[in-house]
Amino acid sequence: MKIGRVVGTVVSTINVPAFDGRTLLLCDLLDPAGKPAGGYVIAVDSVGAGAGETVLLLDEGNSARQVLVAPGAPIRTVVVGIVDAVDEGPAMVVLGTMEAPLAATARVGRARPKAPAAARPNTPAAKRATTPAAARPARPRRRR
Amino acid sequence: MQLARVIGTVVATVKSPGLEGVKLLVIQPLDRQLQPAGGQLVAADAVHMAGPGELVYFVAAREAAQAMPDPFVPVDHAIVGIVDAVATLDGATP
Repeated sequence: MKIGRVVGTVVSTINVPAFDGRTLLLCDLLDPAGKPAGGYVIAVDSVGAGAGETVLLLDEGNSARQVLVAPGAPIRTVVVGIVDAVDEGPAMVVLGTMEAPLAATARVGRARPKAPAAARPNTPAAKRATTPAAARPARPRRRR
Repeated sequence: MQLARVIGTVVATVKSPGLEGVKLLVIQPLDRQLQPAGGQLVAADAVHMAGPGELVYFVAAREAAQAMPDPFVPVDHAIVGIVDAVATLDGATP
């Protein structure tokens, strides 16, 4: 596998059917120290990586098809992970850019959706939802 | 996969079995700034719609043949999509 940095996306409407609904990420290849190693690759996303993030690239067809559960697809390169740090010898190299922490936060936000009102019984919204209107105390009318 | 510009077509009457009806195009691989990078290649057109001048992306190696209707054909580079836009952190490139 290789380490890369997502630098953009490739948009395409006319493509082989195997690519329908898939996100293509333009990734610069990096060396383990996080410096550009020269070259780039267009990879299919499988983890929800975003621009600016350091990612793990899988560059082998059979594994790529297994990861994407796409037998017979002409896909060789897949983003299979988001790299936080690379421990190379004595020093740990923390990778990522300004965008990476923001994107990571957004992902966590999506992964843990807010529980429905009924699941949080002590909030006013849940009380309104579970108490019939007639049983609710009348709201004090404000005097002019 | 890499970006490439279609720069020509290849006409061949005598071809290996399985390649009948397959369109062959000459492509120039590009770097991320869309500048030519490396030697030109002949690629099979798996989208059936690519033509000279178009910006495409292609897949190399065994996976190229997977893009063809019959996956057991002698194809090692295949055009699998036509690029509408490349959006990068530096700014969108049409």
